[in-house]
Amino acid sequence: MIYWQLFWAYLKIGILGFGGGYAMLSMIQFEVVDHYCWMTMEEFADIVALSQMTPGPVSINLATFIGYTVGGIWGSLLATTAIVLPSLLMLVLVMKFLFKNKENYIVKTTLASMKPVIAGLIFVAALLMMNPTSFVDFGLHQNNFSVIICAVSFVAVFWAKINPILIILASGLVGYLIY
Amino acid sequence: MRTVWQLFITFFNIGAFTLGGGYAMLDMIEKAVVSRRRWIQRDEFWDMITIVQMLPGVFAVNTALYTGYKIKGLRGAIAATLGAIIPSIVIILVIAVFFLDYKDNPVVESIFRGIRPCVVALILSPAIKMFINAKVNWKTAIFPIATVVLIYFLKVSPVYIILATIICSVSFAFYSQKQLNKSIS
Repeated sequence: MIYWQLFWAYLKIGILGFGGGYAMLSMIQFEVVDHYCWMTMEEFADIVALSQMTPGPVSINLATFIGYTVGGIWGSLLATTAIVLPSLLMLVLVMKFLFKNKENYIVKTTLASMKPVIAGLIFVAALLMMNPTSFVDFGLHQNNFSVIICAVSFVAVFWAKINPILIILASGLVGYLIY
Repeated sequence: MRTVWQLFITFFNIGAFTLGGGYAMLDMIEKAVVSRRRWIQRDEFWDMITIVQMLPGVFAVNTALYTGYKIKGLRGAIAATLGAIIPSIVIILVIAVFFLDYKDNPVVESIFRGIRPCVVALILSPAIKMFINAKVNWKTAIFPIATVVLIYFLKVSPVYIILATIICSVSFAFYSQKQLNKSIS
């Protein structure tokens, strides 16, 4: 039963995952944390961080990790297969249609008008992680180190364009030193 | 058969040694299949990538699929994709086994207390980049706001929102094409 749920959840993510890995994140979070309650938001955030630090495609790392946590080795293979399968099936269709009509007006306009929603989807993923487990010392009379870590990380990745893996490692080191 | 095997090995190496996901891998893939192996031409490769970027699913997987397909058909596509994902599966399984054992360790917990707020920032950054890229203005701001309200506050599944978005966007595209044709003729 749990295998079927895992497969179905990840199949949906593979079919509807427009806008890249970060936009998929809110969908994955919804299925895994809210809908099936397979893990807490905190565990989910940790797994996302580990998947980003590991070589390879982040969404594949995440699928394997979540699959393993939910259903062991078979769960991990099932989740990864389910996210790849729709792409494989779409290959033939896309090769026949899209590549022959490269400058297709309908396709271009459709994808351009989806962008504002995709921006919202990514923002939801960030919003869902802004919770007391991510910001342990948030409050008026507390240190608020976590808020500082978040602000500095944001500046580092958005403006300074520092490699995210270095930022994660630095944050981990800061966490080890102050908590 | 040799090319199929070489495709597998090439993508296996990229999958095993590239940190930072799909876009970081793109550079390595271009170097391998265009500059080194000369399997496809540079402009042909980038033309393909423009289309692959629009597809749903994992970007790195789609890139492997289409590059493999261009070079050696369906067998090439499958070989390249397996090459790209097998290192991930193996490495993650090893990490997952250890992580589940050590996640309640106080040192590990304090490290993750530092990492969690950082992850928030790492997701916030592409969200804002996408807002800029989508050229969100006062008129179109209703779409991301509605998305946030529906998912975050009303707990509506993102699946329905994406389906509704696809339907609306396709209808809008056909409508605007019709308007365009009218204005030309």
